[in-house]
Amino acid sequence: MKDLANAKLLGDADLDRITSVVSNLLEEVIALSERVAKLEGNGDPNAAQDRINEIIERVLTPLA
Amino acid sequence: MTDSIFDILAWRDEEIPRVRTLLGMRKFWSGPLYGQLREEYERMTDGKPTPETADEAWPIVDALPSLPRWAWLDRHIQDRLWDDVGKMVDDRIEALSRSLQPKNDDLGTLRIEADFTYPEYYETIDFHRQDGGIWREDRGAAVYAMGARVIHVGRNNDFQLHDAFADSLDAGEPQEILDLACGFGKTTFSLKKKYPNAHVEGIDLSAPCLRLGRRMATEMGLDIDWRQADMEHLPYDDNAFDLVTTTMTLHELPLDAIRQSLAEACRVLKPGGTLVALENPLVGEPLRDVLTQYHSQIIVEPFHYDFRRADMAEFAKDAGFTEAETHAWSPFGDKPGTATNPRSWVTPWSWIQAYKA
Repeated sequence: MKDLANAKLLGDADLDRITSVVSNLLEEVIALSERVAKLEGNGDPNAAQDRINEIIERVLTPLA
Repeated sequence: MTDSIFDILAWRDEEIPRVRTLLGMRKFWSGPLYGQLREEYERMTDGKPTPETADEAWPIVDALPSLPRWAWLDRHIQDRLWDDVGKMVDDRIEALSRSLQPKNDDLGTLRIEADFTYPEYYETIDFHRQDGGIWREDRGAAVYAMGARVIHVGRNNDFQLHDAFADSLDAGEPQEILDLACGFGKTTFSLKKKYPNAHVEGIDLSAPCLRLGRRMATEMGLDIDWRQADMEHLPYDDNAFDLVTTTMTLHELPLDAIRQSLAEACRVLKPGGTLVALENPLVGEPLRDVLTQYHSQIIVEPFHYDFRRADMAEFAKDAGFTEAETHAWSPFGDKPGTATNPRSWVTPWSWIQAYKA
């Protein structure tokens, strides 16, 4: 019987999936943050890419 | 919503943050993450003989700590691209079908073969990780068309690269122009805009892409003929065209298909005619070249490895062209591997230009 109580359960493929979950969540957060910015009147479309790049860089910094 | 294909495929307000997220991730991948890889590479080669070729650099690159993360993000962005854009197209599928119906005022001709034989590699490989490819149904072509606007980091929303390619052509005043593997016509449109008085014809294996191309061309007022055909077996007489082009195609083909396609291009060109192919080759910088080849592997371009190691000028001469040359092409001023920005990833472009005597 495997020791599922203590063994490491996630392999490389699972980590790939979990990182995808995190990255997909990032996209959802960005989509929502842009909606909020628009509703609050702070959503300058010309600055959208810069705003989004900043969020991505902050969130993904551990990858680099 | 109107039946205009450009209205249908335009980004909606709520979709733009998702597109910008993809672009932002690609920017992170090509900037900080690539820069980290380069720093690691420079540390590992410091004080040792500098690798001069991709093969020499390969084992070093494989040992770089950031390589798996770089590769993971590359793969993720590509998958996310098709997933996001696929959902966008699904929301438009009825309007898309209506728009692609033939209309009385369609410009040019569209010739689709009833029993078309696709090359085996084309049917069996989902190039660029796009499930189902671009040839089975209109949805796939539309997904490709929308996705193509977010691949080249912010400079391709209006296909500026293809316009720059056409603008850079120096082929005199061609009257008969053939665009091989034209897809939905990115380059074909640019050719017709540059040479409005020429007869321009685009061929591709994908009928859905051709339908999409014709609709777009009609809405742009561009009179172009579209035909389903295999560039290995061109359905044209000898000496029929002044200029034959193909962009970002050859690297998708097995080497024997490249040889056959070049021979066909030479056959249908008139004496004095020119073939120009836009491609992205190795650049002679070992780290970047290894990563370029990994990138091609990741996004499923299975013949890219062999293509990048083959001499296309020699292939062209073997195919019957009397002169052939390749040269780097940097339409937006970015030269990969230069000292100005060595830590930023830039897709290298090159021209293969061949002449028929």
